[in-house]
Amino acid sequence: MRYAVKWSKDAMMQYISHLDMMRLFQRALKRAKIPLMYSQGYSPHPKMSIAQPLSLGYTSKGEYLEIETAKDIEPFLLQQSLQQALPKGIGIESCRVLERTKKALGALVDYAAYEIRFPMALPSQWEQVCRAAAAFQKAERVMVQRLQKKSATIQMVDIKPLTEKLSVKEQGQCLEALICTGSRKNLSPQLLLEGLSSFAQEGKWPGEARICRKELYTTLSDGKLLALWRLS
Amino acid sequence: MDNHQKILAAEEVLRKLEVHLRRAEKPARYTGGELYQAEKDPGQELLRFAFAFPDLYEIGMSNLGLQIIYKVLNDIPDVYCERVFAPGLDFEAIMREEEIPLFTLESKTPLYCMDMLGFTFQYEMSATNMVNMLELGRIPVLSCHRSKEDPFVIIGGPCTYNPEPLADIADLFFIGESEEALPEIMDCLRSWKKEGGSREEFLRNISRIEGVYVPSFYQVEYFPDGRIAKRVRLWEEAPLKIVKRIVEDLDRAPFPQKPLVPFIATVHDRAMVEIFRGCSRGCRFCQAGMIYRPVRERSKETIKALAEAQLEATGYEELSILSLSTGDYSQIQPLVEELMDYCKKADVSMSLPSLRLDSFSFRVMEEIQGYKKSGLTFAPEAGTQRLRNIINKDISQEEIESAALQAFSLGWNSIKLYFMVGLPGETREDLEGIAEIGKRMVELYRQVNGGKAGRLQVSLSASNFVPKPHTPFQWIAQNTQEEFTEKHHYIKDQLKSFKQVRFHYHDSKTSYLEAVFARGDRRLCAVLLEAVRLGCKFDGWGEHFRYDLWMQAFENTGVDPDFYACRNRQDEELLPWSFIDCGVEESFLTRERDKALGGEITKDCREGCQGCGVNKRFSCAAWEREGEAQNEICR
Ligand code: SF4
Repeated sequence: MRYAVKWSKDAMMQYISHLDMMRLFQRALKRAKIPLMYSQGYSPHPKMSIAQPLSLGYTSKGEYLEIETAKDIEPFLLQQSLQQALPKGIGIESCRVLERTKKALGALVDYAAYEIRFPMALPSQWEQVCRAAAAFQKAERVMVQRLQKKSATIQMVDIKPLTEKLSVKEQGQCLEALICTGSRKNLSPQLLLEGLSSFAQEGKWPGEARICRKELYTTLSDGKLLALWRLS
Repeated sequence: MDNHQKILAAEEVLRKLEVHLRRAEKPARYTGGELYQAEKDPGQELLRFAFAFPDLYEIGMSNLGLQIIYKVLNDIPDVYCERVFAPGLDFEAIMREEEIPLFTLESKTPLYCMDMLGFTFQYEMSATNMVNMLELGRIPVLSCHRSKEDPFVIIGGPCTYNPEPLADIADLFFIGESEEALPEIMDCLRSWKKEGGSREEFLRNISRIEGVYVPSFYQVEYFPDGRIAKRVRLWEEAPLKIVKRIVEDLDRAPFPQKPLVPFIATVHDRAMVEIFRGCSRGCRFCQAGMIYRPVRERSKETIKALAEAQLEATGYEELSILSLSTGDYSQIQPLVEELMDYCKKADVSMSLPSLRLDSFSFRVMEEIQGYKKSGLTFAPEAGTQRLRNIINKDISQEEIESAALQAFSLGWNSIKLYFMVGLPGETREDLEGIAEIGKRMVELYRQVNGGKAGRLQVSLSASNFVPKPHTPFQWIAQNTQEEFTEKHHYIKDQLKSFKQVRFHYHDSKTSYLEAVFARGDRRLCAVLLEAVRLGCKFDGWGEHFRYDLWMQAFENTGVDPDFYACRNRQDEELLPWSFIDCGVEESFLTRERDKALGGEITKDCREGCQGCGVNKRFSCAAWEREGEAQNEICR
């Protein structure tokens, strides 16, 4: 049976990398005695994946693990036993059976919602955040430099069309953003911040940002967004 | 310092970490919070102990001793044992810049808040890291500078069989296996804290515990030529000899069933069960073979129960059984078969280090998947039978060849052989012998593979012999660096036209300093501090090792390193570690050395006691079995 497991990662766990999380889940599933299906072929590996890697140093409330188990388990039991086998700092938010969804979750991701906080910022800097966000909204194009990993070259990209929504909360102490994520189009929150900071007065941009991913979305055929946990 | 102040200090660290930890290369080294981490309330009356490993997290977390001690101490309700590792150079710079004191992973409490800080001294070259960690933890480096508020610094681990190079740093050493002694040490600490005595009083009390050595109770006097003249007791009740501690019954010894499971990959990231301690082979260069005597086995049933418990609790995908020489376990066949059965069912792979090269091992290795990839490894240690007799390494040319033949016919393509250069009695032929074995491997491979050897990879790896305390070679001079280098080149030259054979050798400079510290005395403390002041740390990591700074440190302190590394000692000389009693008698060591120089071997003492003397202090099962057998005959 295939399952989508939604999980969260708190500040304690923010430095555990994607690869380490994979190993952690593999061990946790073993501790919880949840047997996985294995892929066929020369070097079989367990059918388990994380929908969208999260950068080191981010927390999250909307991560997804996709697994295929060798036996059918009630989703709430799966949630319970997996939660018990996990260290503090990782929470299982929900667990659903995937029946109609055939594609891998990772291939479905189009957008991610982020919350970006500036814990160390002063009120004068909050103001900068508000102004920059307003200017960003108005701008037709927002060009930033992006390092192309494969070719190791720097390219200029327009991040405006990659930013679906941007709103200011708590007088500028916090931003909420919905941005393109996944294999088709992708914008990192870090790059978004770079674009934003170019609208701020020199030296006034709050340096330290705390980034939390809130949710992952896929696009339906009618163009509407659907949070991954609603897939079945 | 009261609990409240300690909690405030920890909160301060935590606040700084929230800001600066993200700047570290690998922040997860410093966060703690792993599965099965011990949690205790620092608001309660606790004895605070920090187990300090003087290397990176990834190295320290692979250490079985850490897991054992962590369990033993945290099983005591009012003891909180936390962990601390050497921070990476990147994060150390941040800590210094932001004035973050070195802290424990569990509660982020600065080291200076601990009641006791325990280092494990596993490797000579980790000494600079210990000094650096004390500095970062804001604890005075020298014991004589510590006051009542400071933690006691205790140092244990294999290198403390010669504790003297760290004598000015440790308040106390612990020699031997600590499972049973740690609770006693904690009792002593608890009553001292209650009574509120002086540091001196605590040290006097604790020195009554067997295995504990308090260096400040002794003074060492030297002859003008630098040799030790005598050791003087400064307190007349201090023991003359320090006898190591051991655990006699391994089956009853505490062993972790729920070990900490790290988040990030470590060197040995797997379940580990120790199957026995000690070794009866008597290789003459090997310190472990002497200091860990007598052999004590854990029963097969206990091993299996521990392995199963660990695998269930951790979800590890690999199990490893540990000992000095796996193949010597008395019930190795049934043990391995039963473990393999279990592992297959549980979908766990197995690794079996240091098996013997017999047909059983090959059968096992065939069954263990993935073994071929890693290649076959074994350690002849020396290139000729003559030299192998001198060092008492019981492995013959035929055994090496038949093992290689078997391996090649089973489809192995890579083979690794370990040797030492600079052994006592070594000649040109022995060096040629190393190369010859490499060439012979190519020949044998061709025999099996129809003349072809294109896919074969032979790796010959040579370490430089470092004479160690408590071994038959403890009196013998190490080769000079020039000699080592010349020998490396000589072997390399022999192998020029054999492209399948690769020859690796260790850095002679590191081996030289290892030899200095292995057999050093108290005068090395000053050198160590000077080396740290000049910037030496992580000396065990080739890329950080600064030989030039070390030489500068020797010069600045007026200490001659050759005196320790490259000098033959007479039997009468008082050796710095002579007061440490590991059970094996000095008369046995001299006898073994003389036999070595005559090329005479000593049999594995499971086939008959060789009179090492360890049975006089501890119960030695091999010796007792023999006694029983003899009684039978008499009856
Ligand atoms: S006392 Fe005898 S049997 Fe026991 S370890 Fe020593 S030599 Fe071996």
